[in-house]
Amino acid sequence: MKTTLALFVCVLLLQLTGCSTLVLKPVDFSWPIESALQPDAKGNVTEQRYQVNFNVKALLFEELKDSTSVTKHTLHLLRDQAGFYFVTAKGFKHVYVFGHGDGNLTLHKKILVSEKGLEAPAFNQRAPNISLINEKKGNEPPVLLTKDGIMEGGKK
Amino acid sequence: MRTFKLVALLVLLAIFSTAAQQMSDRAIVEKFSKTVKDLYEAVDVAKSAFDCADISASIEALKKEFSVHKDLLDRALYPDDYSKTIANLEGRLLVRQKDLGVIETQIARIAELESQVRELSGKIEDLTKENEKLFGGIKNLQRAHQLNMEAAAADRATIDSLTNVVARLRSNLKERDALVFALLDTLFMQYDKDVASMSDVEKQGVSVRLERRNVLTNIKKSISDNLVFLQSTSLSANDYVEIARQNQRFASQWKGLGPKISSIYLSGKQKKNEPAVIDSMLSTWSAKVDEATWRGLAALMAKGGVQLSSFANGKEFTSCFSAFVDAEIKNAKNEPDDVLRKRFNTFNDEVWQKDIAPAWLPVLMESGKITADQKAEIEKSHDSWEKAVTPVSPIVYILVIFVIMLFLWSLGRRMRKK
Repeated sequence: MKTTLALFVCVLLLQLTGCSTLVLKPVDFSWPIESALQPDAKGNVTEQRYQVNFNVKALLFEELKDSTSVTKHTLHLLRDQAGFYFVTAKGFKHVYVFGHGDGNLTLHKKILVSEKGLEAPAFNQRAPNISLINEKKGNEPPVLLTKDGIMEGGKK
Repeated sequence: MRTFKLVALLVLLAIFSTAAQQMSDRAIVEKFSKTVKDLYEAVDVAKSAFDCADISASIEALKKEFSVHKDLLDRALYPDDYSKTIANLEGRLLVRQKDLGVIETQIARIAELESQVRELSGKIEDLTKENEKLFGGIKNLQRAHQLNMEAAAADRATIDSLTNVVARLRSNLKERDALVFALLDTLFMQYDKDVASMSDVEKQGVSVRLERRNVLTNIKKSISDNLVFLQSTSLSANDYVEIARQNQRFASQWKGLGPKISSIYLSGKQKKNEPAVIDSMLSTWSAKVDEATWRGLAALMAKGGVQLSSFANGKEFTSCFSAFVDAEIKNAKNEPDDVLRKRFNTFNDEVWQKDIAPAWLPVLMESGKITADQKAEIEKSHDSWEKAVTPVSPIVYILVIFVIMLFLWSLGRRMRKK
């Protein structure tokens, strides 16, 4: 009985070791600068350097309740250290934070950054945060963002 | 065409560098990349040593502007980093220079002069800004002074500050004027030849450089600032001397460089009239300096107790002063000696020895406001006045008595012999 139990434990341990996920870290997914992307007629945007391609119709509908005139919006996209994508555009009230899913981008957080809508948004990489600035108003302090919202003390 | 591209590039650089303080990293990278791309294009179409020197200077300006963003650019640029991008650009320029057979020393010389031009431009801009502040300061101090005067309060400190600001402004204006002409000189020196022998392309190059450095605007600004300074109510007699001297210097420098600029702009439509505008502004300034000079001189003479009838040129001044001295000498018989002497001494000690003889007369002659003969006449009048009021020395009396006694003694001896 004891031998059987010992054998069972050994097999279980071996199986657990074989199934456990291999984790590599640290990993830095951050992009040094944002990408400003113009959707095509179908609503697809393509980031050339990092080869990311996705459709933004649903995002534009979520924010503007309109996904018909997709080409007139320029989307600002930046990836942080942890691999989350921060997306916004001129006129948006929110910054959308997307996580990497299985063949999709999943909304992690929708952060309200402007009641009136952003005037000239641009992201800067300020690891571990993402800084959101208004390019037309250089004197305005930047908004520091994390994947979960506005960083305390970082709001304008 | 390439020159225009470069100019556009530099203008863009200037605009962006003064733009918003918060700038997106992407904008910085895009601006750098665009500038590099434009410079590559400029290298490819460069046709002369001058073009190469121009590009070389632009590369230096690019390095100066973007070196602070090196870390960002190193991360963002792909496949090359910041240093590699600059090295590639400089390499391309070097190859182009060799293809054109441009000698390295030519480039170095032109680039050195160009960097001088940039430096001078920067200084001029700084001085212009400082002068604006000083003009504002003068207005405020004058207002404060007037308020204090009304309140009958002692405001020595305000007056001192005002004097200091005026002195600082005077020196700044002088320095700025000198820099503007030094800049102009340096721009022409880059070409190592007379304007008359320049080709149309070279003239076009000079005109682009003149515009890029706002030379004509700076000259006009100098004249208008000097005019404003002249209208300041806080100027001392010596300020007028300095202003007259400065006006004279400016006019003679413009006389030397104005025709060159006219020749550069001869074929251009827009700026063709600019030299004439400057000539006219300069005439106005000179006329105002003339008026102010004579007014300042009259005030100074009055301060020394010499009330002259009004004069507006050298001839009138000379005759007024001579007439005044003549009247004084004629009056000598009617007035007590000590009154006459006191009047002369006041004028001589407080005005003539201190200001007129050492400063005013040389400057008036130097600037052509009086002739050498008129200067001599004024000095002669002064000497005559001095002689008329100076009492005869006791030694003279003793000498006269001695001579008379000697004469009487020799006369007596001769008569005894007879």
